[in-house]
Amino acid sequence: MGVVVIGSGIAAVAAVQAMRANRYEGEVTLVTNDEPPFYYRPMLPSLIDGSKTMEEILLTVDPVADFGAELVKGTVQGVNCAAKTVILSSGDVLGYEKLLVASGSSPSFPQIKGLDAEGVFTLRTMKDALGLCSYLQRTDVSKAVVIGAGLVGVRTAEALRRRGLAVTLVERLPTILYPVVDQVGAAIVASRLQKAGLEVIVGARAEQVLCSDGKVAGLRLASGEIPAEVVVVATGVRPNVGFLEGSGVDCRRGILVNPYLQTSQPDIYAAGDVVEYLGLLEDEPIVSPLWTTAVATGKVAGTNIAGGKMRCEEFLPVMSAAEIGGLPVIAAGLVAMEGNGYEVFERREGENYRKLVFKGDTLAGVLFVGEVEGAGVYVSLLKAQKRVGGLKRQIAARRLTYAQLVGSSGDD
Amino acid sequence: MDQVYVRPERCMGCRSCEIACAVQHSRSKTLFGAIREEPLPQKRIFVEAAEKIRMAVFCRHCDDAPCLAACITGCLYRDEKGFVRRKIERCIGCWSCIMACPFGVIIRDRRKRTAVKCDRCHELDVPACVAACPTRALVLVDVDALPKEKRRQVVLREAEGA
Repeated sequence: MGVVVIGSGIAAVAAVQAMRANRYEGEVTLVTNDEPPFYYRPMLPSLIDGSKTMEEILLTVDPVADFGAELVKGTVQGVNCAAKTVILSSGDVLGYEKLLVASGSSPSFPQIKGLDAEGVFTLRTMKDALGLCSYLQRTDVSKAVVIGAGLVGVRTAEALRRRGLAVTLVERLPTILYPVVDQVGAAIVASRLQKAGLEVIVGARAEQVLCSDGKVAGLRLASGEIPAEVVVVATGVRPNVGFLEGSGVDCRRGILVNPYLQTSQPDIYAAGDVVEYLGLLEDEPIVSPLWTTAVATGKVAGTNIAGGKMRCEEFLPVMSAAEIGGLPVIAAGLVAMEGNGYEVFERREGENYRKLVFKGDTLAGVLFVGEVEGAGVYVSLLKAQKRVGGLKRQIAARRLTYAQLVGSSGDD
Repeated sequence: MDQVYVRPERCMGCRSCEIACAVQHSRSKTLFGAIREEPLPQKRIFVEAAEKIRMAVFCRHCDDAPCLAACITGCLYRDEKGFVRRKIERCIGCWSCIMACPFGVIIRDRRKRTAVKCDRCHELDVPACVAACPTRALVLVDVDALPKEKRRQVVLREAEGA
């Protein structure tokens, strides 16, 4: 009995940490099929280029050693809300007093043929990354195609390139990194990637993974064929909620929750990629498969499971930082929005680009490319949806400093 | 825990704190040594001026530190004294901490591509910036021991600012 947590990602870990911080002393059992269970998922591309080893990207917190959690290896098949049990595919049954669903998300695939060929990979788990690494060593591989130019796709493509492969990055949309960066930012970053020797093809739909003897031979686009021995699919993720079907836990795209991250079943909470919750800038609830969201929701769910009453902040669709092609990029909110009541301030000097999107008197989008120092001041204004009123033009024209916020707090 | 606390009404904007910070984080730890170092040492405290205010802005080593929550590498950690510090060999320069810091006081080491932030001079009793401040605009105070009303004012001002 006690608390059962489905998942072992950062949302699950943050939740266990919060439970203990809030003096919950009962049993905590984590159920996962991820091996190893605890690692920094966004660091997986660092395994591909060899800049980090597996040991170096393991979590510095260990829920078992540090918080006395128990670890159960297994795949969850279903949840019985009436009996308050979790059913594993092994047939084992775990009873819970409270359940936290932090089952994360899985890669979503384009509807194309050939994805079952040897040499097709995703980069979601440590297992995926290690599998890709050993495939790159084992066979005579010199050319790779990455489908999907989101953050994961771009970082994976860069890592493959650094490893010495010829890499083509294929994106269905007209620009890379949508919706993290807008068109201008995408062009700046894409030109850096091209300088690093990556081929970037946008506005192209992958039609089929070409195979020969069951192995990847290339990728076919409408415009032609790209020879390759490896294809990495990075076309986004979808929440892992399939096992909840028929359980009585209300789901749409993700699991629906109240501001305390309680699901439609009062004893079941949700955290991380699986949560569908109120968007800060949208009228509709959204999913937010981001590291920062996972940490924040884990903390809220863990605190509330331990008997606290903590509200979850509304979700942001974008909240990302990365260095791409050697250029720092920080983005938050609705970066690529224009028109329709949005007011946009842009400033560009060479590769330094800054864009602020306002909706009325509040910030709705922040994008910094190049010089990113101080971006957090803007991001925190956006998150707080603070009305900036008279400060708007100043904020857009100059670097906003914390002192300005303190100095101006008396007059609005 | 002792906190560095700024009294903007006393700040002249002399930047002594910035210099002392850079020197403290130089190899030689002396002013004349530091100015000849290549690369120059980086400061982690910033004197900022706005219309009605002038003040040093620096890391608060927040209780619920957003930088710590945003770190995807395990580089940032809280040490035994409560300070948010770096295990620098883990940093990959993803800049998540810069995105998360509401004070804007984390910067880049452009050569090493790593994040640079205040370590509260953890090896010193009094941080270099505080020791260097000629007007005592920067002071080290035990926030828990501040009189209640004063503490309320501090918190209110911080809340309005953030």
